[in-house]
Amino acid sequence: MTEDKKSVCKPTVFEELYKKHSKDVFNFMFYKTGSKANAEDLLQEAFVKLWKNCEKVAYEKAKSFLFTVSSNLFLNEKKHEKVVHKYIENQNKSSYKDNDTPENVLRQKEFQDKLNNAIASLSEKQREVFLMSRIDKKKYAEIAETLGISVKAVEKRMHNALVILRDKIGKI
Amino acid sequence: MKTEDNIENKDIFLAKWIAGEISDSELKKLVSEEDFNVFQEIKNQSEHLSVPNFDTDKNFSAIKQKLETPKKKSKVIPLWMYAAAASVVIMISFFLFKTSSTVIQTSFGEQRIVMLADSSEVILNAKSKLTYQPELWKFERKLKLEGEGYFKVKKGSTFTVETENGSVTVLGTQFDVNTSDDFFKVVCYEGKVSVKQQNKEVILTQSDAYQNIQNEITTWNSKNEAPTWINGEISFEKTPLKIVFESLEKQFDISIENKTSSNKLFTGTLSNTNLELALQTLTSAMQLKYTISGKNITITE
Repeated sequence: MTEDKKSVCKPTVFEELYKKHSKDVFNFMFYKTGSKANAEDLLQEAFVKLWKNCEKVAYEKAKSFLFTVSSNLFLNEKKHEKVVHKYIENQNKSSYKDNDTPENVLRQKEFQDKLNNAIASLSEKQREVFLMSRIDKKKYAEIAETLGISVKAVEKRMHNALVILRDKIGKI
Repeated sequence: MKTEDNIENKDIFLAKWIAGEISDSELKKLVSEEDFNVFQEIKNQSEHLSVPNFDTDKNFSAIKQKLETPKKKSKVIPLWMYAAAASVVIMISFFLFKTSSTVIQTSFGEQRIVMLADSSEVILNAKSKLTYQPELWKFERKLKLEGEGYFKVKKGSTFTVETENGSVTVLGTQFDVNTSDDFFKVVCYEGKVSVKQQNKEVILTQSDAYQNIQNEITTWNSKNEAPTWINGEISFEKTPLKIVFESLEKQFDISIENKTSSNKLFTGTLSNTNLELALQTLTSAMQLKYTISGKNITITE
């Protein structure tokens, strides 16, 4: 990466960018759409756009280009109509401990369902911040950079997301 | 936590807490115990959230495919949408060079229809590759072919199919080109095509077929109205067994070992969809035997 001019138009560079950012863009689109198929469509479109505009997009700007373009595509296509949010593909049993009592497992399962519904009720902006932080384990500064907003704005969205989640979950 | 901080952080303290920037005990001072417990649970549980698996390679192929078929006019349509509107077929094979242009490739047993910018069409047979430059298409209708393709050319300027073994030039017609190592076959189904090989030129008109196998040139009259492979059959005219085997290998993704010394020529039609049937037809006609073990076929006397 020493050359200061890495052309996005070079197939190898394009592929490298794909490997580097595709998962993040996919997740980002998944948080917005709640659908794997839609997220894949939008991701693919975004990379097609990147390739078609490869001469205009500097290597360093490719990531933000991808996030901006996929966001816009999402807004244009209104794929979010009637989205069923099912993020929590929680086959991930790791939250249960082996010695958990059945009651405890059931209680956790109930909580997960509540959490799931609560996440679905967040605004799109709160949801993407919450999930980028919790699933992608991204720092607020990184999220801010990706979304092109201030760190403070990210923190506010996160805070509000937590307030709403707590509110929706109610008693436990 | 100092009071001034509280005020400063009042709309973000939960974000700070979940990121580990303020401690549990600090949070407990700011929210009720019940709230704290819920927040704690949200924190724990959201740790285990996940998204569906993302198949990096599959999506990359999808992107490449979208890029191969420029949106303007070219598009790939599934074969079934196409009835057998017959025309010309040319057969050409193996390596052509790669440029940074559009490349369309088919896998074992796969066929694809490619629409070119001027609405000329190419049906690509299994294990074949088509390369062209969409930007230059307006100026020069030229493409490269490895394997086999059936071309339906819109009237217009010269249309050239280049292969390793020779080139075929037409002015609006339908033809099939099939090529591999030292095999080159062109069948004209409509109109007129010119076949150039090593400075020799042959003109084919409707239903003329031309074949060059190791510099042995055969010409005959084709009875078909379109290449048989687009309808699930492959037909051969005085074709060495080696070429017949290669064609089956491409179609069925198998590997054929020929243990006979037979280099007889085969004329006939084989199934393109049923391997057993194809092998039976071929071996009984040639008085040979075959055994199948997985993807490997052995041919014996």
